[in-house]
Amino acid sequence: MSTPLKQITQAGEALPELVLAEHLHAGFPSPATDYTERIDITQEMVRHPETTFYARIDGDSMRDAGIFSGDLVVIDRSLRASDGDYVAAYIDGEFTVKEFRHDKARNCAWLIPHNDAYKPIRVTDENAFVIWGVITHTIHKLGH
Amino acid sequence: MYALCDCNNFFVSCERIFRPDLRDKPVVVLSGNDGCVIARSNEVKQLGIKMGVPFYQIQQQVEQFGIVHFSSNFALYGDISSRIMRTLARHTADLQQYSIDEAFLDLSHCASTAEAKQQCTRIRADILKGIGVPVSFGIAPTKTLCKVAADYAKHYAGYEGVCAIDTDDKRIRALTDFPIGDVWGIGRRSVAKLQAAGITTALDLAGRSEIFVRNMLHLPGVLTWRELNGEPCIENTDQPEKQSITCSRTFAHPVTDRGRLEQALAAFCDNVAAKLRRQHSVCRQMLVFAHTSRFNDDMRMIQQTVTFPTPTANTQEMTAALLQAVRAQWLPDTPYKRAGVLLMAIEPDRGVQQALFDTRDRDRDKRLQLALDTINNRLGSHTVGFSPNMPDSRAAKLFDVGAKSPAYTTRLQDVITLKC
Repeated sequence: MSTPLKQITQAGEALPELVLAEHLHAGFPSPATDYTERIDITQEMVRHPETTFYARIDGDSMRDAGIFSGDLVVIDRSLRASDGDYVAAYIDGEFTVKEFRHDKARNCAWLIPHNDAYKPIRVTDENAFVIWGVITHTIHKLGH
Repeated sequence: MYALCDCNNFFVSCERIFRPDLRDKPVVVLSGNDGCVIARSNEVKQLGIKMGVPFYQIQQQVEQFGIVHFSSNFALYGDISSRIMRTLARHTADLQQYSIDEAFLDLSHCASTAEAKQQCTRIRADILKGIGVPVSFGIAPTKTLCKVAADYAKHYAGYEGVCAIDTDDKRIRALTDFPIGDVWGIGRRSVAKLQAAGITTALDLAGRSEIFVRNMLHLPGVLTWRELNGEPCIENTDQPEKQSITCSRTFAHPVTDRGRLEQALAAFCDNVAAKLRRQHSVCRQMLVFAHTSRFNDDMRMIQQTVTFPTPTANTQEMTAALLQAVRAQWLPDTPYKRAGVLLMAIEPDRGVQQALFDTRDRDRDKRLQLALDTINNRLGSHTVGFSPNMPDSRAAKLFDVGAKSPAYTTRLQDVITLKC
């Protein structure tokens, strides 16, 4: 079994810890199996599993909001976007992440970057625009 | 009162979740192996393209109307389906999933049709926003009438996705022009008989006597007749266990190496055996086949039916039998183009009769299999398996994958990218 087990560790890097069925035990049953309580990060970050999706960030326009290129973000589609939310939006053929602002006075919306090098995007009826979901968390991997 | 929730153009809708640009575009989804149309967007239906037509036959329309095509991506469709089913299950005490994209909800907790409609309208909006799939609801006192109502909900925009048949007047109006062949439970052969007797609409059938229906269509027909007349009698819609399970592929490049063919067949075997176990069944017979191109004059093949003395769902046992069959019939220097595994003589795994001289430790087999299934369910199919099995990613390269979309929701490397 040594080869397949090696594959598990490789394939399993980004996944929750592997729980092997008790049926594989060869010797004494471990007394630790009675203590099954554990911290589940997924449960903390995913409030609505049915409507939660994930996406990868590519670019630095949200750098000052703490969303970096290469980050994995958690998107909940069931949430209604309010002013100030970070949204996954689809605009003119591309998915992006920006802060959302509704501008009633000018009958439009704004997608606001968090990086001085970028300008806010004004969204009107002219654009092919969908708010795809609201970003609830970002997972940023440190060096290791 | 019941409701049927039916997803609109389900496979196409799944693809569109991650491709908002295709919202109003004509889109088809093709079957994995033979390239037949198995799902159509409304735009494609309006072009008159029929279900099941081979893709090459519609090439001209594909170019003329810019039809976008996908190979089927069942990892995606399965995941989206389970999201929808879990959402529905929160709104009813009894959810009966009928297919990958249909489920019946028991709405007896609703005091009135108005309340039922309101609830379905809300669920529909939740699924559309939260998951991105448009669904239709049919509400009625019987499941057969739910099917009819859902059909109206889907085809007439005025219903806004929710149609109820709750009075006798509405029932009669709904059945009046409803083609008999579209009635749930009326098969193609029955249609021919009924049409010969002058019955062309659902109302024609509902208006006949029970004796007439019994003589022509026997008991299942009588149940349908009663349901059309508003008397609920189809309780359980759980699909009967499948009679056969198959997995086969056409190779992108013909396989001449025995090891590679064995690996492919073992992967198929792993697949069908897992399906068998998921439906709590065992099988008595397995057909293993591999053949060269059908277009060659001298089509050569490996074909072997294996009979198991004790019905089994054990991958290890089945793989061993499969390898034996391949090795016995192997022809060197033969370009195998297609191969597959078909399981037959399927029965429930309760009370399996062990063969007299059975030497396998069936309990041990079962425990090992359960452990492997647990790992594969968590980490993806083919993570661990029996030699000469191989990881999924390598298996996939053997086959035509065509225009398959990424596994957006089930594989971390495949999630969408947000430009930022």
